[in-house]
Amino acid sequence: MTDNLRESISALMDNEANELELHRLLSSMEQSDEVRNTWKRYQLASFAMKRNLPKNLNIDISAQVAQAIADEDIEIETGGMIKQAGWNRLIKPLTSVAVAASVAFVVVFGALQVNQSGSVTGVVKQDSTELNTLAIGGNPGVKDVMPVSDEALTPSQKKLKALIDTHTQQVDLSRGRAFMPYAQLVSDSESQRY
Amino acid sequence: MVRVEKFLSLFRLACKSGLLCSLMVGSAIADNLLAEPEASNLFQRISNAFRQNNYDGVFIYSHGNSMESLRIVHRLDDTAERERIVRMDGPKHELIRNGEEVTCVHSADWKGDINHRIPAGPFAKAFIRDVSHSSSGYQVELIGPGRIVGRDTMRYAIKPKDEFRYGYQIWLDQETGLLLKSVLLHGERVLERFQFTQIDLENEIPDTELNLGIKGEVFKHHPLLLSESETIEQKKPSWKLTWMPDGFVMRMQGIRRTHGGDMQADTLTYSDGMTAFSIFIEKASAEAQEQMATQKGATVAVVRVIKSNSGNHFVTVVGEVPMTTAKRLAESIVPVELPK
Repeated sequence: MTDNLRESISALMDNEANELELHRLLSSMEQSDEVRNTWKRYQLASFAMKRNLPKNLNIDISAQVAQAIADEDIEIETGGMIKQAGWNRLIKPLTSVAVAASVAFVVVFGALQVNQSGSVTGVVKQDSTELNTLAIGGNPGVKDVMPVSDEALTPSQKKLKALIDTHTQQVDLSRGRAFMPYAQLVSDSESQRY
Repeated sequence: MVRVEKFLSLFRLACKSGLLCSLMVGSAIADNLLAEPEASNLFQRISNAFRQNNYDGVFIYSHGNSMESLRIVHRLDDTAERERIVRMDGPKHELIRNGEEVTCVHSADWKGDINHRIPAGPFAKAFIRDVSHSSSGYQVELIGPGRIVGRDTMRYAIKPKDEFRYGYQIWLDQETGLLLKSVLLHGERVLERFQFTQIDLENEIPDTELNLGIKGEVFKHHPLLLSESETIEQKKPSWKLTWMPDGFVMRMQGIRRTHGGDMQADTLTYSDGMTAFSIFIEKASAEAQEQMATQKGATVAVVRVIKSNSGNHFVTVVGEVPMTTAKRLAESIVPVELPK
């Protein structure tokens, strides 16, 4: 590996690489393990200096995500993203979901929902922060499929919502919740989304 | 030559990251904020600052996909704390608190359930924790100086000692100790955020700023009494947990009427001083099969059905804990064996 390349990496990390250097770096990274590893080391040094050192340095996110998906005993139907906001929608059974795996640090968790007739519907929810990002980015796959008003909730969903409210209120009384005191003031009304 | 450049590059990085800067200005920082604090001292400082200072500011609170801005005006009078909270977004809604008395006004288009949208205690009290337990599950680390809403701050990480609970980072005003920003973290992800975007800590708060600013339907009530009446029976719990994370203690138990009064649930609430979860157990029909899991911001809810000799029951775990913790808790609830 040439000193030129090292300097280009350094420049790129400082956001000072020009177009040409960038192209040269990208193509050499494709071909050379050494260049890739140097890039990785420099990044780690930079993270360390910024005190942002990731806790698990050797985690391969793609493998983790794949594992998380494999672990979920559910069907994943394709057919569009779902954005969610408010309990009303979160607790509605989802029929059409997809996993956003494009952005790093996507965390997928599964929720298994068995309806009264016994058939199983798969639910994969993305972390809401992630969904926010997608929504802001204007992802064309995002569409609104959930009814939002209380009237649209099934009795069991209403019940769950009530229990969540009861918990919030109870915890507020016993002062069991630090630093985020105003959950109760944040309503699920239409205007408060996003 | 390359080495020199590398060094310079790292030096630039260090400056950007504020590492060197923080070393240089370190001596100028108020001593009492610098020490690596005990969790309990830190929380005491935060709650004192919220109670003792006079302030008028706007903060945002984001939770899941929703974000809301609220104005808080707070003044400590000789007799009591007075405060006014104004929703800045959506339908108008305001509340003023004079000691323990709360008055609430909302405009006609407000759709919220008014009784359950009022914080039970003053703003300041929301930050008072029972600190006797909170140190066991967490470790406090000083990260360093910073700047929030135009004021110099000290930033701390409150790190969970295990994977069963969330972590926090908080930014305290160097001059007053007031909490100016906090985030709730699951690993590296921010699930909830509280942050002042504007604050005045210098000027006197006139009475006019503590009066209701909108007209509408007025509610007066005492949230504490209202809520206590909803516990209809205290008795020995008939359910228990076979597992829970270290440091959680029971805060409440009993049979509670939940919203609307037409539901009753055996309720257990546990807290580790920083966070809490509740477990509700209700009778379910023989054919009940429903299982659900859902999350918004830091709050998760898990529903499962337990089948036993005494019939089916719904177990619902609601709390500000990671989903894996809530699921494990839901699986750890068992009926208490009655002595024969």
